[in-house]
Amino acid sequence: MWGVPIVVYLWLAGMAGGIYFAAFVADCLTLGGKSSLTRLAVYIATIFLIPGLILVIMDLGHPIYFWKMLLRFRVMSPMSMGVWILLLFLVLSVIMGVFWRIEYFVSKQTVQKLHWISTFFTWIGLVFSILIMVYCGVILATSNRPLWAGLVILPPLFAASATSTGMSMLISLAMLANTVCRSGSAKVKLAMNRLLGSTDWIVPSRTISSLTKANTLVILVEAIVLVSYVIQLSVSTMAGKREALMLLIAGEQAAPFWLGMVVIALIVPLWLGVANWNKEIDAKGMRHSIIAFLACVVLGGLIMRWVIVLGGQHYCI
Amino acid sequence: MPKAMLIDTSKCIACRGCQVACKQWNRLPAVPTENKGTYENPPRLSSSTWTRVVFSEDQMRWTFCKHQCMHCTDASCVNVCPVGAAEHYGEFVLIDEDWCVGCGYCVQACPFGAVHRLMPKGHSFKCNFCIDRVANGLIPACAQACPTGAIQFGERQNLIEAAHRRVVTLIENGHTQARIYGETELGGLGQMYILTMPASFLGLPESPKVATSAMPFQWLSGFATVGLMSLILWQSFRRKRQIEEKQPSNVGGAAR
Repeated sequence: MWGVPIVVYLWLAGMAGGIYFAAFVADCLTLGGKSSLTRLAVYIATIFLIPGLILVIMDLGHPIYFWKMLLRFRVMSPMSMGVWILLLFLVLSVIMGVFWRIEYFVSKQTVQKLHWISTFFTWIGLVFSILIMVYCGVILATSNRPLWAGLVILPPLFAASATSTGMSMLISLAMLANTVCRSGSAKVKLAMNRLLGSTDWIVPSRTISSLTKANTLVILVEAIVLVSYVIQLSVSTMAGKREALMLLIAGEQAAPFWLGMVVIALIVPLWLGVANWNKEIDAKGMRHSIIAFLACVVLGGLIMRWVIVLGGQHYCI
Repeated sequence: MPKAMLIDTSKCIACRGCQVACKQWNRLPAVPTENKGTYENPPRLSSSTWTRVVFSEDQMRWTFCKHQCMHCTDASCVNVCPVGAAEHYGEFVLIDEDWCVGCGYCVQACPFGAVHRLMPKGHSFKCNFCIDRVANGLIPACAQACPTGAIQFGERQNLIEAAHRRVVTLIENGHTQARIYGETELGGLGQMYILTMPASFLGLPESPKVATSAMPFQWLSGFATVGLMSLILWQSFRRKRQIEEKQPSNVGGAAR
């Protein structure tokens, strides 16, 4: 039985992948081309992944034998793939962190000469972040539990949720970092600038606004994927699938499904996103609205994993 | 020649001698029983119950079916195990207790619900086909204990031929739904059945699937979704930039 530690792990891992993915794409699409949002994302993703990994190791029957997973690479086992993906992403994060620290101590000319290395690392990071987002769904779909088994729609659901929760967390932390940079002491500003490799680090309002709008659209896609997931379950001929679906929508998991997965994770953020679509980010009342939007998405992502992981094990063939 | 086991459900009388023999030979502890209104117990397969007889009732019939690890040729547990602890040893699927880390993935992947992890801590357990007995020329403990000959152990090909003959006899005797289960499922099961009822009635999946069968498509669908997310992000930033280019004075916050 996979329990709460696995639920939290999948939530943290998906969010870490989503944070990096959203930050990288946002940096690429923002004029200027500096990767300060990606830098912030690397630190946050690492902070999220480490407790996630500790949780998943502690959930093993023999946590002390975790190292055995690092002696084998099995392409057909999503868990083996996941372990390697997470490990390599963490190693890459450390390398990027060290590299960016070195940048601070060398001349500008050397930094420019070595810029391609930094860019190369961030692109590799993008590949791993995508793998993390998708793997969280594949690990469940590659099973024989009726709620998960063989479903091609489950990885898209997890990838969409990882993107929305990751973007929400990124926006929240970017707003927080902006506040710190604007109102904090000179020492705090200096530390932030050093950490993020900038001389005057701030996330522009237009970037936050674009991310928030994109997040609303991602949640719309997530809602469509969830409907497709329910339809795929209802039309499946596999034994137990319909019974598992009934457990989800009208049984023991009905309350967290409807209240958490549908209302909190999808309807409320969609309503807030659409209601504030054309408003400027600095407009009156927008801050509270955005915070409510982000909190719902992040909490909804956790409830979604809770319902699918725990609900999936309630019903066996 | 590969070995296999054949369960003839038409001969099983649910004495549950196989359950007792399995527990005795493998030194498995007893588990709390549950009253379901029949003599069916232990209530479910677990890390300490590797085989059990499932009672299936309808208005006219009472049918029994011994459940355990099927030792599949295309074994899901072997495919998904991240450390290679679940492996084929000849025709048998065994879990190497020294290598198993107790991740429980084999438990989630098994289409027959035959693998279980010792809770709260420990590795996975399942029927090992009494490999210690078979390696020494004996037959598995459950087959040894069966008083009616419902459990047969031997060369797989011989068992299949015997099963076909038995199915013909059963059909002639009015069991029109009689068939062999496990001859071709999942590449051929190490434990085959002669069924007189639909497999689902006896708690077996009608068409079991390897857990990893759709994995490439699952990865691809996930990547396609991420591609769609990238497009959404691109469109959002592009639209914002177009608006700003038209109305540069409306941009809030610091410009990069």
